[in-house]
Amino acid sequence: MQEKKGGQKLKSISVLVPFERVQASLSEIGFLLDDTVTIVTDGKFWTKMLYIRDNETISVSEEIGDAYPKDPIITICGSKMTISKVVKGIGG
Amino acid sequence: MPLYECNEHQFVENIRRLLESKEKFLVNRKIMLHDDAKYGPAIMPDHEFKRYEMICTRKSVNSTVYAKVPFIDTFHHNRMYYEGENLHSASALLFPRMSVPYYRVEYSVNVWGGTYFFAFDALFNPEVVIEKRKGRRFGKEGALIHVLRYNWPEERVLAINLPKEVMVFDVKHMVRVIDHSSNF
Repeated sequence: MQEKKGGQKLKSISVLVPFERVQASLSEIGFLLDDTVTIVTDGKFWTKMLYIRDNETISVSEEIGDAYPKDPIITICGSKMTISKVVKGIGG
Repeated sequence: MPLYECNEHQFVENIRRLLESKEKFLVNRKIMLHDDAKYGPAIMPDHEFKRYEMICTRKSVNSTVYAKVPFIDTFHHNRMYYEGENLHSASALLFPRMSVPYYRVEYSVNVWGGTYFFAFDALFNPEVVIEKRKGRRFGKEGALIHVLRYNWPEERVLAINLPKEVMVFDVKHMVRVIDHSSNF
């Protein structure tokens, strides 16, 4: 059973894994892409993607272009279990 | 009062640490619309420029951008651009003629006399359609023309999602007060 929003935890991860792996890991645990936006920060262009499952949200920001190394920033606002599943799924 | 800039990862992790420490704090958020020609099509990476390819052309990033076809920009009072018109010159990258509107989003948190902030610009989403327009330029019968619209990004994708116990206040402007008391 999902925790209520009051029981939600916060976690941000920045890892050197390809976005495709992050995406696969999120869809495996039932998160669906809800919306995307192009943002600019630190003089770089990023795609910010919002994934939702019930009342839990995960945003993934990835730099656009051929930047290397790519380290998407994953921000999770969800249950402890969701956080540990995402961390495990991306090899953390 | 010191002002510390964070990236998204640092800002969220700092909030998490504050939550875990049971420290009381407040997050401020400022979202403002800008259309100041800060962003034009020449400086966009290819991935973003592809969204404009129906109406614009360029050789590569930072090359001059020209209109591929005539089009109307509805966001800027139906401004008309003609085929071959220079939209963003390689020699004037800071001054694009075709400006992309954006929201400036700033999140900040004040703790122990310091302000920690994370800011980013969220570009409006371009949408190119072909419409029939009538008027002086298009004749009585009207003509088909490309139309560029900018759709604002939804608030849910701009927001940093935070647990319910974190209070977020929306603000219009932050006045930074210089505290001279520590000099005495």
